[in-house]
Amino acid sequence: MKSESTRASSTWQADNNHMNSRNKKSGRSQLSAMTLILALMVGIMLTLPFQVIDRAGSEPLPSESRQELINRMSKMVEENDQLRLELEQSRISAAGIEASVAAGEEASAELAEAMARYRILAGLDAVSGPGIRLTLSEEEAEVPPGTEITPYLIHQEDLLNIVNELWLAGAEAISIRSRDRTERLIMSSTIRCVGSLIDINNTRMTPPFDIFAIGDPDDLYTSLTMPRGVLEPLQFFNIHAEIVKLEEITLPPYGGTTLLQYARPAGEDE
Amino acid sequence: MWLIFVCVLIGVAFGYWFDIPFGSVDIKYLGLLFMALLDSFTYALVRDLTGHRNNNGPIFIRLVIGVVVGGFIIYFGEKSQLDLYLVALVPLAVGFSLNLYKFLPK
Repeated sequence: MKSESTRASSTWQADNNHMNSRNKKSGRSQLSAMTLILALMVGIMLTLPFQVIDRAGSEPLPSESRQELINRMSKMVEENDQLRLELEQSRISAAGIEASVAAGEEASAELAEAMARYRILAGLDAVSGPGIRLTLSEEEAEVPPGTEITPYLIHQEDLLNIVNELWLAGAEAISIRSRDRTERLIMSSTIRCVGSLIDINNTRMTPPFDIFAIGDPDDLYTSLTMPRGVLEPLQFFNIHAEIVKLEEITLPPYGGTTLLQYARPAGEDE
Repeated sequence: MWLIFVCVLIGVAFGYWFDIPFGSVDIKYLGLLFMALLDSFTYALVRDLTGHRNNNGPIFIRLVIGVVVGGFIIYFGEKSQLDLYLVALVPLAVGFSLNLYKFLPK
């Protein structure tokens, strides 16, 4: 081993001596084309830090670590909560202004009632009434070997099917609760899978879900429990569904924005 | 030797003024490519300065082997949930160090 390292060392030294003697003799060395090409490529690669700095402010870098993305997302969620709070306060003040205007102009009771009804339909006001609570949870299941676990999870299709069935059965207001977050469903609500989470009204939610619906409790219960109904396939994949009829439930108002940018009453000029 | 500096400067100018799409390549592979280029570049300098002839082939082969082997280690490491980025750079770093050892005056 020692003799090998001595030999390698002497080889390098010979190379070095050979290089020095040759340089001394010729005074210059022949550069191969690949050396020049590599020098060019090294020069190009040296500009990489400049490009990284240029892009840092405009778009996320591929090298951004998972933790950085999680931190950024947490910050955005906090900002979102803050904005929702501000929106809620604005709505309360707007309702106060509406009330004072209505009183000042002696608006008719019918107009005020119609407005309240439309606000409920639009999901802008909290609403109470009889209904049901459906709790959906993923029970621990023994997945057979070689089988995908995907069917054993709650997906957007499951929630969409249930919500559609409830609307069809005459539900007048629906909300979905997951842990400490509740989202009221309105005409522009979205329910979609985002990775392992379900995004409802741009709020990330995880099972178990409590789906509240206001309407005739018997009709709503029957629509969900009928044979070959929306809940039947779920039981085969250990997704547990529990329905409770409630005499009085209160659903919160929709927390997002409802600004219209393009739609306007038909026949109205711009 | 001055030709090498000119080439490096041309490369820097080219990369600075033209938008090379580095962003489309994962930063790990960019690091690997940069290390492989440094290794091959110093290897090329050693061969040129020691008076070897017909160096293009060996230099090109060394560059390709460095990139392919390193890329193979990183790619299949990721497939196996392993971060072998530094492991992939070790052979190139060792080659680079040995080249410098030969190249620098004693």
